[in-house]
Amino acid sequence: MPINKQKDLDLDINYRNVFDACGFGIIILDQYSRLLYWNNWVSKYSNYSLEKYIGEHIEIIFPILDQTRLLNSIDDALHYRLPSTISHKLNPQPLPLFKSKDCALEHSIRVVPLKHTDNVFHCMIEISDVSASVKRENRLRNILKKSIAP
Amino acid sequence: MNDETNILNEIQLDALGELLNIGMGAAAASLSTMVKQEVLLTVPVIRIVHQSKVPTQLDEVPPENVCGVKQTFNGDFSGDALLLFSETKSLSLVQAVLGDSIPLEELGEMEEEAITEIGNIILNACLSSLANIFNEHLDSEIPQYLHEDLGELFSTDSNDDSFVLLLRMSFNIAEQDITGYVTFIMDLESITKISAQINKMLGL
Repeated sequence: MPINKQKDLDLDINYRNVFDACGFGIIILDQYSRLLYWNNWVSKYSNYSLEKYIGEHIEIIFPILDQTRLLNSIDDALHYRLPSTISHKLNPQPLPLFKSKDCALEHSIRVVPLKHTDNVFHCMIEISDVSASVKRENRLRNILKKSIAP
Repeated sequence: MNDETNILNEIQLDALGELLNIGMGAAAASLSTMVKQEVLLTVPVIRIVHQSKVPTQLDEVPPENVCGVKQTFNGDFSGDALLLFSETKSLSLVQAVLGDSIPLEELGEMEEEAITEIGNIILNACLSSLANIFNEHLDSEIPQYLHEDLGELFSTDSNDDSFVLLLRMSFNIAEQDITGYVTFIMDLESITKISAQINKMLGL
């Protein structure tokens, strides 16, 4: 049977399964900065379960966020509908995410407004693992330094 | 081509400058917290020029290549917002903010992302100030890093009626003065709407 209507597509795709299969983190907040959803990736690296924190304010879940750039960016997305880039260089560890007990997950973030209804916006926090890029760039810089050293 | 001097008068440009400087205060506070040192941002000069004339308005000797950040926005007025630095100034910025001394050709994706974030903070401050004038929201796309030829960035065809709201920005970080430019490329209709809205705000 051909699929040619958006409505069919919306019904046929289980978006929650798609998000849970993603290799990056997704956190969705409502207009009051309360947690609506995060995907398996976030549960895995935060070691927090979604079910326990759903409906909680993001600052309560992550007290580390108090007065940070990430919190300002969430405010920009929810109230001004403006997206933000949060770089690893300027914000080394915005969220408490860990690969193992002693190894922090190096990440960068994008915060994007999501239209919910005409006047209400939610926001999506998209988290990327940048560990490999950081390692690669440090290695290349070290090679370069050695090659130009007298 | 329209005569740019008629679109916004001096009183309107002053009012716009005041509003944008309030937004810059918030952006500077955000940057200061992040880089753990005092950052001062001011917009000393604001003018309207035709898109094709932007390169000659930037510096006495216009830079060939520029680095910067671009955000496309839509709403009551639409266009592209860009924060631009000459290549030399963008390196001074990276050095002042990150403490790194890296040649431009060696800027990695991590440094580019940091420049994108700085541009994003400043452009969001400008866009929210403009949105406040209208008491409306502007929708903006995710910021993009750019490193381009200045002439190509502002090239136009003969029928193009795009104007640019050009802001010279002064950054003071780590005892360094770094000049950058914020440009809003908009069509005549958008600029005319801004003009009408500033008049309303000033009670003219």
